[in-house]
Amino acid sequence: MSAMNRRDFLRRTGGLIAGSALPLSLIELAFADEQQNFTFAYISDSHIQHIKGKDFVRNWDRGLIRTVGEANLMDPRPDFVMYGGDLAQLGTKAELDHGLELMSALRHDKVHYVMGEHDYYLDLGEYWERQLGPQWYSFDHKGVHFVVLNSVLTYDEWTHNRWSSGEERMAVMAGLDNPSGSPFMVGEKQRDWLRDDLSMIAKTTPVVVFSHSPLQKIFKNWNFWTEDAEQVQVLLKPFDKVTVFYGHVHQIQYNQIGNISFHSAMATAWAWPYPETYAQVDSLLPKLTVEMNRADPFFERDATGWQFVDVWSGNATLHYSLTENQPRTVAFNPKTGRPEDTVYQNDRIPPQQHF
Amino acid sequence: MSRLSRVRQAAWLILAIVPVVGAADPFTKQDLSDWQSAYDQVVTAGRDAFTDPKLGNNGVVCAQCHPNAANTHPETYPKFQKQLGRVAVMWEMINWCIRNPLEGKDLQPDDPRMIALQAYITQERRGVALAPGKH
Amino acid sequence: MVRDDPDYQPRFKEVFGVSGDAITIEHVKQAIAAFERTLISGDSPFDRWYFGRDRKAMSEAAIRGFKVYMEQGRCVSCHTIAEDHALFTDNRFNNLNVGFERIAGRLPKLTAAFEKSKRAGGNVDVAVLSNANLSELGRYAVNDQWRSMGAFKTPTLRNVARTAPYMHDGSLKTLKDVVSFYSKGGRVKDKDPINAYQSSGIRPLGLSDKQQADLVAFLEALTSPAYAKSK
Repeated sequence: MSAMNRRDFLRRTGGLIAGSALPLSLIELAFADEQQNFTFAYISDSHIQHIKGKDFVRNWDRGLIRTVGEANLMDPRPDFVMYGGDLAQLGTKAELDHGLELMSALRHDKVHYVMGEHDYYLDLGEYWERQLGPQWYSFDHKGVHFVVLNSVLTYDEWTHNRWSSGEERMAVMAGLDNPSGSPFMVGEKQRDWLRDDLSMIAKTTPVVVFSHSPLQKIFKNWNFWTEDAEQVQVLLKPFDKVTVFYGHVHQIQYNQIGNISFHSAMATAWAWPYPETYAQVDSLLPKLTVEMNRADPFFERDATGWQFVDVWSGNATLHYSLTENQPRTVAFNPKTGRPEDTVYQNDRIPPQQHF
Repeated sequence: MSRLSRVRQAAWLILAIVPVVGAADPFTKQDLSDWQSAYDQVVTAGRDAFTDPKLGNNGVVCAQCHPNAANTHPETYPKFQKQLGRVAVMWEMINWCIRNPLEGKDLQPDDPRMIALQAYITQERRGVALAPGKH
Repeated sequence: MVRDDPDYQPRFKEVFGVSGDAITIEHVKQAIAAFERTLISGDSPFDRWYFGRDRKAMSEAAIRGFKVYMEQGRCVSCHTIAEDHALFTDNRFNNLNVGFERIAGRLPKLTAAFEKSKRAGGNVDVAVLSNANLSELGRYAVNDQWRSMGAFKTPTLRNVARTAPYMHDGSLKTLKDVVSFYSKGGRVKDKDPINAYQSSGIRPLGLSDKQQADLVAFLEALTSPAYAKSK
């Protein structure tokens, strides 16, 4: 029996996050099959950055500390926690250790980690793997099949053949807008693994995929992009309900492509501009996405945060907890067959502009 | 011949010798290319400062939050800047960022790095219409 | 609550001639408005110096303190100043790390119990005003949003030199203490813990003793003569 019963769900949506309650029709639907409903916390992009000795950038530390503090107040507790990648800024042992130490303050036992490029390109994920396990894997939870991918791989020639050191490679990939970077990809080996993994799952099983970069193409300049996104989407196409979660973009994005719902995670560290704010290159930001406002840098946490996700009948509702902003909720709407902001979708407010 | 007409005659002679097009345009192609190259060098220096962990004191760089200098909107200055409590120009806000997220020390307004930062930021925003005061 | 308060009962009787259920929100509004009229001030040394361009209106120390206020002290971002007027507040709510340590260690249990009693119809006003632990929940007690945990409203700084003690719980006695508290990033002592929910506008400022003294001199220049006389 689910740890979260119907009353708890109503409490959480109606009470804790005031102003973002689901429409009643959606709640009714949500409990068509109560056993498959549960909640997990989703934290991403903390970019713990080492200065020297015992000093880390305070701003990013505070973001993760804040998020862990908020996640610890979830009542009832989530079934598990997902970490969406980029725990570290430059992939060092010091940064990963310090990030994991801050994460260890969570009251919740089980955390699943996703690899980000900032965790990966120093030593190609070696230390991360030693601490956290395989770079890609799957697990099942209450009738839902979860898949975690490493989507930040790139061409072997780029990874192996042009750097004097791992530090140099990491520094280039850490620059989001560095023209010497390289597009992210899942790669053939992992796609083969995914095909095998999914072959054992019934097509009616809800599938949830986690990657660090979006498994859809939004903006190549900043790697809001996965080079083989379409090839991964093809593998997910036969399933009735698929939801893809990704980090990396440090902003709210959501989209629907065929049977696949896409949702991004907020960063705990800092906010990124939406791609259309770079006037020199066109972007493909999904029209469906209602953007966030620009950040006021005085409040270091402005336009940052984390989210918890209700999974109901194989669909997802994201509750964004935003440290310095109004909370937002993006939920799958069965009537329109796509994720929608429960408040702002059709009534976009003027300050939600970027320029 | 009067003095005046001698001057007139001399003027005619000069006009006949110097090509008209050259006289009206003091900029040569060489000038333009030199000045462009001077500007480009400063833009490059600006990009270097924008990604330099030593600009501030904590290793954080401008580009971390502003990829391609996005969301710096140089076209909106001067404008009221809440963090400064008054209408400010862009270099003042750059110093605010150096003092705060970068935990560093102000640059002088005529510091070559401050000028280069503004050149780079504005170059990345080229083509966008001026919108002073906009929020 | 006003109707039942033994201190308010005779005062409302005296001023409005009402008691018990006859006390309405209109009476309370009038009382607050009368109080607010005593606060109107716009002729402090700062106003004469900044908006009136009277260069002699503020001391040298206060003028240096104003620079700290605007720059390294980061004061102006919450205690706002505009081009033509200054309210010295942005009306937002922030957790400064004042008094929160009392509940930080047992917060999950406390909020769970609080939410439970709220859903059962418990009176939030009574709870936060009569229970010292619950009062530290701040704005969260009202809006149930984690972002408001332990957050209290930014007050104006006008006449601040005359309104000791300071902070939402009166725990700091002097402006010198307050300035030192902010300079340490929301700490009375250097090694005090900082709670997870502290406002992201607060961080260590590293102000020198002289800068702190100058800042206090500036804050003292926000007292309006009329207010000073009335006290």
